[in-house]
Amino acid sequence: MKIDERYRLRETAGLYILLDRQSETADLTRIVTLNDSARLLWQHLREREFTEADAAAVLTEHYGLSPQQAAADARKWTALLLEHGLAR
Amino acid sequence: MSTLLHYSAAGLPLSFRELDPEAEGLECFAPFRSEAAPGPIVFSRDDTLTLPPGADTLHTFGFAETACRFHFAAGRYFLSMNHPRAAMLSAAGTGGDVAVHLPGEASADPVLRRALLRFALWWGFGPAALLRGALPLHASAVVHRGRAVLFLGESGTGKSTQSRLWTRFLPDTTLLNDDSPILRIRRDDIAAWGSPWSGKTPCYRNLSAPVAAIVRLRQAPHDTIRPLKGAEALAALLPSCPPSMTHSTQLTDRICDLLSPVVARTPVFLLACRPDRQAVTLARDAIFDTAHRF
Repeated sequence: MKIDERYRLRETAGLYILLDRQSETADLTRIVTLNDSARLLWQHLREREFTEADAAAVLTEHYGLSPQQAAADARKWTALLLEHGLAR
Repeated sequence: MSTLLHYSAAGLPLSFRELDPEAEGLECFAPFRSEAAPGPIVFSRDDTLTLPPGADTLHTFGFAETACRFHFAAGRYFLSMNHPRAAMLSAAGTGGDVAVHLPGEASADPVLRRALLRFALWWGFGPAALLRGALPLHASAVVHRGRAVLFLGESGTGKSTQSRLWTRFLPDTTLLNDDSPILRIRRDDIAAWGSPWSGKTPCYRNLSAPVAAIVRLRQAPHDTIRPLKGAEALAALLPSCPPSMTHSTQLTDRICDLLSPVVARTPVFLLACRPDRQAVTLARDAIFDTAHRF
């Protein structure tokens, strides 16, 4: 899958938020914030094709998670991306 | 030799060269005449202005039945407005230089020409204002006991109605601006200013008040109010920032920088309500009776 390039990560008010470059078609009252691990994954995996295994590898490398835990977390993150239309 | 006319908006000096807003029918500028020393924001009439070839189109939208395009080219922002009865091109740099190519008086519909010029000046003020800590918000604003309350919401949500109810039912309450008040954001102080731009309501007040609260409105059958924090507060504010500016990465970054202290220091609320006196009382009590908690 690939992160949709219409979204840009920006730090503001102490939060990491996704700004929609095509905001005329978006509901601007809904914003997406990323926590530290979601931000790490976003920064590592944007602008390229990636798989759940790639995401799990990032988590293992940075947080020292067990392969099972990293796979579960990576699955959760990619499911959320797809559910909210942030990747396809 | 050209004369400069001096005004100010949100405390920022504005000068006009070869362009007299009041002579153009924009009497909304009269209260903003200023004796202050001129600054870097200068509006000039430039009938040689053209859109550079290869300009990026960032955003297309409609305004007053006019097709508008927001472009970026050669380090400047451009706004082209095209209507069969009036067309106008403006260019704005973040440095403060704003050029406007006006249609000839004879060739254009005077009412439309005036409306487009008013919009072009608001738009041209934006990039320079953002860089100087001034953020125009799409809002209706009142001053209650010396402090400003701004109402945000999509068109038709009842921003103006809410302001009218406040001035009707609460003592010591006046309308500050009904469409585009300007937040002046400084390290220790966030103030709301009136502006020459107030939508359909002729309320052009060159004064400011510290901001007590910013209230996002939602229509609802029952009145409720709750404070918004962090991401919710940000989501309440972002949609009311100048829409064409949010199509430029540079200007969006600037807007985000300005919103950080606003979210940190200004109470933001969501008021779901009917347009009635109970909603005013509920909001006033929430904002002014709990202000010490923030």
